[in-house]
Amino acid sequence: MTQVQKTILIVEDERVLAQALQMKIMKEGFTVEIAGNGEEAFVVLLSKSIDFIVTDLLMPVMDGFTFLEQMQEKKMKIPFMVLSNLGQLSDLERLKQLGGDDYLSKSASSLSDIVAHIKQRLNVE
Amino acid sequence: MQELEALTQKNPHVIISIQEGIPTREQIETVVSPTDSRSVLISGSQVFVDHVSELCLSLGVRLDRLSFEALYPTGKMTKDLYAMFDPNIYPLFPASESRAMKELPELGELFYMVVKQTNNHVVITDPNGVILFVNEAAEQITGYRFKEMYHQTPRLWGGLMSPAFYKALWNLLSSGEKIVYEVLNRRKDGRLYVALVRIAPILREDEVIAYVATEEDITEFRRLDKAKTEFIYLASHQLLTPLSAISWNAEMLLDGDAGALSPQQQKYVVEIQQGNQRMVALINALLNVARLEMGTLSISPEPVQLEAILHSVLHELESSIQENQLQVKHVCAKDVPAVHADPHLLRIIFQNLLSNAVKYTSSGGQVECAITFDEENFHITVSDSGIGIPKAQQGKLFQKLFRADNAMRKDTHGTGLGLYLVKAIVDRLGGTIRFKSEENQGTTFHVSLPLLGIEKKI
Repeated sequence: MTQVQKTILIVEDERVLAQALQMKIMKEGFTVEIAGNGEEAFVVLLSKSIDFIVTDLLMPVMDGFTFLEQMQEKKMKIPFMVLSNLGQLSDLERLKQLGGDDYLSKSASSLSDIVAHIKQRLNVE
Repeated sequence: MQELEALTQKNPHVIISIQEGIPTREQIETVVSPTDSRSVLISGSQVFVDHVSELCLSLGVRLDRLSFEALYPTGKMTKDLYAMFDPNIYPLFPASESRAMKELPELGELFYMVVKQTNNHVVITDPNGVILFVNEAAEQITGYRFKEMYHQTPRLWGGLMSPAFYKALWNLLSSGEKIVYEVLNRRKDGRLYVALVRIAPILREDEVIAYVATEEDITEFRRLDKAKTEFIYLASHQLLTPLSAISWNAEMLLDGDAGALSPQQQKYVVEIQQGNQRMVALINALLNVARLEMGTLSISPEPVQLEAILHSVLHELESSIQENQLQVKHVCAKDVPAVHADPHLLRIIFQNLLSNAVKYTSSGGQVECAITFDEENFHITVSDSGIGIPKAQQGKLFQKLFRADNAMRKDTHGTGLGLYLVKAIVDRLGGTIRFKSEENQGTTFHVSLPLLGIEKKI
């Protein structure tokens, strides 16, 4: 690969899930960073240049909503998608207000669905 | 006698006269001046308190047994009712002052005491909803005393719902129907409670002369029910995460990420994945039922292409359709307008109706789905040539957890939640659902939903 590798940040508190995703995404030639919650994600964002974020919503310490809200407040415009088991459908509304309705249901999506989705978002063949 | 004298002093409006023997009607009528508002007649141990209006001489009291009797109800019944239950009259003879009852009470007296003392809340109003009587249990539930409620309306502790809600109730009531409903009310001390209210019109010769309402405080029941639903919701939600772990790890094994699998290993892992998918489907159904019961299945309408939802659901069912070698036809009327509706809810409708059709149709059968519309509604019709629904069980089809006998034999995996959900969603969207079914011939479901006017509800 000649171009600089794109880096994807996975914000997910379930280690098993994060690792499975990491493995699949890395196989596609991306670099992957993992954060266990919103706060950890901000630490990563301070030191690394991130091209795309995949975030869960329900997480300890700082949940996905707060994370996305704070990104918005800090005017950090990094493309993201939400990968979660939505609590309520009304959460979708809340997501839209946060500038993104790109949502995949964690329980209904296979790893290949998710990887294909990320590649599509990043315009990578 | 002394009691009566004391009573006269306390109540200057009450005239007491004494005579011997049981008074005849004429005697009473002569003693009681039509201009007096009240008087008391005494005859031996019998005391008649009458509430005299220009129209009637209405009731009597026998002090020794503390009873009320309508003696000469000559006026209109409503006037009698006012008099009968006027708190200004009956507290004159509190129960504690009555003499011990030695004989069985008469029926009318017994009725009065039963209604007054039963632990069921009872409120009696006139045809305009003006309160004539409340019993002790009603005082307890609402926190108001009878005196405070008398001549008020039940709005005193209610009135928290929308005017349209009460209007609909009145319309039903005035047509002579008995009604049952749940409502939020407020006690005198300001505390809110959930009441299950039953109201019956009391008819005399087809004319409503009064209403009787009973209320039950079901706040605690509702709270427990809510806790149960929330528990199901939280538990289900928590179950989804480990299921993703199972599913994704099985996927990695199948992809050969941990080395190639033998055909036998591959078969086992596929089984794991399929079992997992069933579990996910079941949990999602439970979650939707819980959301529905908690009222958090929000409705966020947006322009929706029905055909796109139909295609995506059919795509999802592709493997089962092929497995059963079903012929699937779908027709979508031309120029179906983009419907303003909640795509998630519509998807649940399509998903359940179509997956049922696929599941309960034997190999080689047919499944058809049509989307049509008219000026006001759009219609989704799903028909199949499947096992049908036994006539005797058709009435239970939309009940939660119900599964028809033949459906259980054909497929042991169903949850009994699908059609319950569909019906509940259709109801919430202001639509209708009907079906026709013949056992071993097939089933047709027909859903109609308003094109416009699906309001946003959260």
